[in-house]
Amino acid sequence: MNTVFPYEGQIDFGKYLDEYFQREDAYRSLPGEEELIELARKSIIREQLVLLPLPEGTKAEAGDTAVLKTESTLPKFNKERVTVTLGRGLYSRELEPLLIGKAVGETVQTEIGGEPVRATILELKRKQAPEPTDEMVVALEQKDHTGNPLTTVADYVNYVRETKINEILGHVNYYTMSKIIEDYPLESYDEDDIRVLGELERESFIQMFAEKEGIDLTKEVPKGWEDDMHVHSLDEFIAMRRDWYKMKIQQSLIFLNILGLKAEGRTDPCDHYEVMMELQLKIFDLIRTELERRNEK
Amino acid sequence: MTKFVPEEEFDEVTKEGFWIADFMTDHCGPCKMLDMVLSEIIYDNPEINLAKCDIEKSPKYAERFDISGTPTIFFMMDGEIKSTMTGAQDRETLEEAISAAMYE
Repeated sequence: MNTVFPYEGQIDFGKYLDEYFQREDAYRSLPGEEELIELARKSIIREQLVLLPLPEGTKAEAGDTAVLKTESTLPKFNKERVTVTLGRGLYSRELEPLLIGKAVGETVQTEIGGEPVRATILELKRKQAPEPTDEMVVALEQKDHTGNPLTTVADYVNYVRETKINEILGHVNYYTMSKIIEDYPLESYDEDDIRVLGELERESFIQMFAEKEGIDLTKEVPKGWEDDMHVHSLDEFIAMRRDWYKMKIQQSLIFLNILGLKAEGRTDPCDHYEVMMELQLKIFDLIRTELERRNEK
Repeated sequence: MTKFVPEEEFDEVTKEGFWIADFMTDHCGPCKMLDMVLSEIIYDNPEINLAKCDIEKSPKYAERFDISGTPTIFFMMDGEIKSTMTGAQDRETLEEAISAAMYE
């Protein structure tokens, strides 16, 4: 790689992580095993959920589904029949808590936005959910991140673990890298680096489309490219990606700098297409270690 | 209820009740993340229905609804599209959109 990075040794990744963890929407920990198993359970059995009417006189609990008649001058609360799951506040954070502990036929009253609101419970239902089985997982016909079908509950828990961890690491990575890219702009890029990245991507795309789509990109391009991007050849596509290659060069130099590596031989993204992904995974490892360290504190 | 819905059945399936139509593909990472969040929402709110619409298995979807990226989601009440979103979303954002589309 020939592009010069003029900020050698200047990026303090810890500072950007600190900024991220001060965000309101920051992920501050990785999910625990119990949380992952519960999430997998909910996902596997979602097609098997059944709502059963509750026997007369049964009091509503959080999570029950109620059919209500509501009366108010507010249109949202003036409905002959409205179906509501009690407790999450999707319908009303004010009204729903008042309905918990009430039975069919009972009425509650409150004020919302200064207007009186009455709600009567017409029906109450509670969900019945079976325990997840391997057969249910097979029936979902879901594939993991490498395209292999999921066939057991254990597979599914692993899949959920990987998905959730990727989501969290991706979130931290996105916000920290967006800031770093802004703070450490490159004014010039080596033309050879841009050309080499285009060639590497060309080879990779030719192979991928031949294997997965049966398309020889040296002779034709997918219809979607023509319709959506007005691109009629692979050369045009590569030329259109110039800004993308520049961004990848900047990102790779930032990754190398944070990781304390040099773009030489096996770690040069301009020699090996897969190196960019390897650098990204190393950054993910760094973020993961940091999340675990902060959890232990 | 969660259901895989081919394009030719879409109107019939979504004509009654509240539906989230999730236009996705098998190999899209953000689709998998979104699916995980939707799973939790559907489990906790069983009156919400989820139509999984694979735009590769049913390519007519992309043309019919002008879907250029996945995941794209529609929030629908009794067959009417109330609002749409594109990309993976967190639970809070989705619940706000669901609440508005279902009840307002």
